[in-house]
Amino acid sequence: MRRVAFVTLALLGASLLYYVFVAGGEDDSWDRVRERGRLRVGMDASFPPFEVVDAEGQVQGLDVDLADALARRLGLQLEIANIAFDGLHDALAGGEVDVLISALPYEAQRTQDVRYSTPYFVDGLVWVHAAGTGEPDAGYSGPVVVEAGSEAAMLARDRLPQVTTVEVMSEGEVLARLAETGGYGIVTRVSACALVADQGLAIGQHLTEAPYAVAANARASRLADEIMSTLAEVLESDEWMAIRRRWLGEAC
Amino acid sequence: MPPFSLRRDPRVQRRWLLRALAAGALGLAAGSTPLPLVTLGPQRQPLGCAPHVGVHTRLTDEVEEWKIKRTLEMVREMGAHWAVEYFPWAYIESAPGRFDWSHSDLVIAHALRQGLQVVARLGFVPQWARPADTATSFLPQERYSHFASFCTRFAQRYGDRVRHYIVWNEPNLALEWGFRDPDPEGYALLLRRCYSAIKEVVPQAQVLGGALAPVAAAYAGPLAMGDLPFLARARDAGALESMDALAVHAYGWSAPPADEPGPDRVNFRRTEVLRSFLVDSGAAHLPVMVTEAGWNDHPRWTRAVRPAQRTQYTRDAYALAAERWPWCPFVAMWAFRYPWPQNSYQDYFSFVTPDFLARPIYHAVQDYALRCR
Repeated sequence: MRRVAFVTLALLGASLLYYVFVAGGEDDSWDRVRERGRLRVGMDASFPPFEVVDAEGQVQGLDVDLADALARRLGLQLEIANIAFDGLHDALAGGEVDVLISALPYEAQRTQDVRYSTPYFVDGLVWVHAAGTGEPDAGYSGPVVVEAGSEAAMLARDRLPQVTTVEVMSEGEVLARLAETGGYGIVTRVSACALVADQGLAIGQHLTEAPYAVAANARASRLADEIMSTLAEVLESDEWMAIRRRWLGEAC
Repeated sequence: MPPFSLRRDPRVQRRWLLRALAAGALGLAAGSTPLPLVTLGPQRQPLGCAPHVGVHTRLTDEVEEWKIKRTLEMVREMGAHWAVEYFPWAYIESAPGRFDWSHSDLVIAHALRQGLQVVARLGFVPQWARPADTATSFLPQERYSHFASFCTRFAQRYGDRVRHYIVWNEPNLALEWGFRDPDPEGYALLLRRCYSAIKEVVPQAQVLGGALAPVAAAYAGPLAMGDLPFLARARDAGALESMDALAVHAYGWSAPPADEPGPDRVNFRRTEVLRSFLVDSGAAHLPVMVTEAGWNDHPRWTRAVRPAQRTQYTRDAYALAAERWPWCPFVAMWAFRYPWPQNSYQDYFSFVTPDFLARPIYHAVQDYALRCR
């Protein structure tokens, strides 16, 4: 009995030593970033207002300001890598960037390799209607304005068979039509945020949800820990509220 | 304790009862044949009046039979007559001479039951047929005979039921040629081997060559060879004698389908440039079959269009091919449905979501294809 206990303790001790000095010791990801002094952020600058290249060739947007706030709190300089959307995860996995901040949808199947933050913006399809009027009730069967061919049109056809869809050519036209005629429409929340207030419209309930999160490499766990804990501080700060107001407007 | 007493013991009685029930269940299971969960259903005929409408399905990795069936039912219900599908060599012959036809059997049986014409695309090299640490698009020339043997076995298996074959995919891309420099002469040889293998078994089958990525000279480089120079060298190596039709990939990117064609432009009507190449090469008799085409409406992809544009362009493209291209029997748009979300721009090529929700483009094409009903 005593021998079994000894062997068990020895194995536990060896495992602990291996974890502390071998497995744990290999992860110097945070030390390397600190030595470098720069936080390399991957984003696809083609999705305003989150990130877009302005007339001077500079990347601007909500994600840029968020990345800047994060880098400052980490004591690092911000370095942005403008990468096509489909290459973002490869760039993270290959170590070309330290973190992705690019209105990135959460993907459950990537969580073995990717550490996601809590969502910092929830996009998806939302009702839009004239400010001061309420949501359409469950039995509403009047017209609903949507962008032709879009997911809003698909959803209206599938989930709201009793309504009459009015199809226009863009989400901007949906909002313009509602501002002119009243009634109800369905657009993506990010499109609505910037435009509804100016047109006397209001954003209603979500019909679908698409959360955006910051993504770090799960295998660089110490760096991911630093990024996520610091990001949590940023997202609770007044600075973050100001960033949101600047890029998304008061409606969001 | 005497036996009689044993049988009166409630614990023993319960044990005997359980044994009797188990024996009964086993007997029932042994004596009856379980009903199949999914049946082929009645033989269907194509719908509508647009016999040139086709789609590239993506059933390669679809596991469940009911999803294979439902996908192909929806293809037919949209009014399509043609289904291009990929049959990876590695999935079927994972070890030399050991064949597993179970998945391809399902796909082909269900497609035919829906009245669809199957266009079988063959490729994807098994590990045993290529050097270690090479990509699945790497086929060394000494293994061409093995690929030809696979072509033979495929044709033997499906005989007259599959009448169209595409040999390889986009061989003018390094990615599709084992990350080597594209090799038109090597491709011509590969095509010849597979062509002969199929024709020997099913003489009436049509073997499609080409299936090149649309690459204008300005975009050519180490990763991609221009489609026209590739075709010219392949022709000089005898490729046109080893095909019954030219497969063309006709993506529109951001231009409408009527956009003017030209050797330096990549758009839907680049198909006409490739057709002219055939005519100039003395091969006007070869039809052109569009085995991939389409537009994408991803909100964040640089080559995407708005959803309404995608819908209109797709309908217009089918109409343009029917009205102006007598040498083109079908146009197959990429890609009908993926088995699961790709979480990339690829999702926005599809007509139906993974959970079988029809996108608006599906209904628009259906309106076009079934307009005569």
